[in-house]
Amino acid sequence: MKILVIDTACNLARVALTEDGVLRKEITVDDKRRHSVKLLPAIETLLADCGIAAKELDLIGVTKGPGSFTGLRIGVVTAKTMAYALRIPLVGVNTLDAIAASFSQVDEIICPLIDARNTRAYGAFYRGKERIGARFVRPVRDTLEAFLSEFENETMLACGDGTLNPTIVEILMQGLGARCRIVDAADHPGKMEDLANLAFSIYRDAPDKSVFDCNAIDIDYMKDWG
Amino acid sequence: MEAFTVTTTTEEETMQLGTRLGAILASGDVVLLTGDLGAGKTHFTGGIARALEIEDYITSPTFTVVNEYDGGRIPLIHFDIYRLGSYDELFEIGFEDYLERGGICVIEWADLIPEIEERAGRIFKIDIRRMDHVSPNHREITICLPEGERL
Ligand SMILES: Nc1ncnc2c1ncn2[C@@H]1O[C@H](COP(=O)(O)OP(=O)(O)OP(=O)(O)O)[C@@H](O)[C@H]1O
Ligand SMILES: [Mg+2]
Repeated sequence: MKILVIDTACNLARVALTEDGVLRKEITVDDKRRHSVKLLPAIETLLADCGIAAKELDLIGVTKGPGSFTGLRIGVVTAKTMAYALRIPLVGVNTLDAIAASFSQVDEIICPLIDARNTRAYGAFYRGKERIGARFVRPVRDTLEAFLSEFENETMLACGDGTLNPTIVEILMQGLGARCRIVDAADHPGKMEDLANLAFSIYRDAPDKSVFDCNAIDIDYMKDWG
Repeated sequence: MEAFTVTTTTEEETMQLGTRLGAILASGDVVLLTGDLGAGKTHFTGGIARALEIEDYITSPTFTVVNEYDGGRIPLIHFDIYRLGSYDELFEIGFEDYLERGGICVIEWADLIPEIEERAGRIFKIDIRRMDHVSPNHREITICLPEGERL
């Protein structure tokens, strides 16, 4: 099983190839304004370096939001076009689920946060692989309150690009102190093989595979603020 | 927020007021312009552009919705949302990316889409009213600055 994954939701554009669950290679483009120019060449290089022709791919996975408006459009359109041309399934993965999947081994409550400006963030809570409750977009203070009331005595592991915003980090540290561990997204943006494995399990577990037609996926901006 | 009202009687005076405001704007700031049709919102924006050392002549982006000027000290992103029906339409042209671009966003008719205010960063509000009963060139301009700012 050869899977190509694309993630342009946050500040980095990343592409990776996995084969039977193992990462073959990953390429990161750290140039937000030029994702549109650099994404396809990065995919070409990736495939060439792995010695794999595009037509050998079995599945494409892409983060479908929330995240940057332009980034998501570029990533999803590229993924759709390739899936269409190659006639292979396309799996859209929620960006929060993808980030959380990289931390599913920890004991803490996982809280991926994606910056939504004005100290708001997209987020959700996870215990291991299970999401607890709905995904949300709201002021980080509200997320802090929700955590305190829902999870007595538990520790939060905060991750995702929201951790790059000093105000968000300060709010969490003030409210939680030792009950919060921040994993800086600059060091650990979430592993691409976890995104690939999550895309594969979503595909495998779905009774109706027609939802993975390239025309069936939509960007989920989560733009409706609660 | 501190608010005060200034009266102008020529388009040049309105532009000069815009230039004074432009001088205190920083990247990421958002200017919400409201007022009657033909009140002077675009001329006020032209004044802001002068302060940013943008040399282009500012025209209303009534049909394009947004114009970008990159030639100055800070980019100016000028919206006229008169023809838009909803926040969704504004979102679809990439509004939230523009907010993050590090420029100054000036939005004419900002009151037509109330969601803008909660999503924007530091906000300056300018309301321009025609005073036709006084004279055709008379304008009352109410300026609302964020905490700690003065003109
Ligand atoms: N004191 C004044 N300040 C600004 N404009 C004035 C003044 N007196 C007269 N005018 C005239 O009013 C008009 C203002 O036009 P402008 O396009 O700036 O308005 P606007 O509010 O952007 O209009 P619209 O509602 O179409 O966007 C110009 O023709 C200008 O010459
Ligand atoms: Mg105008």
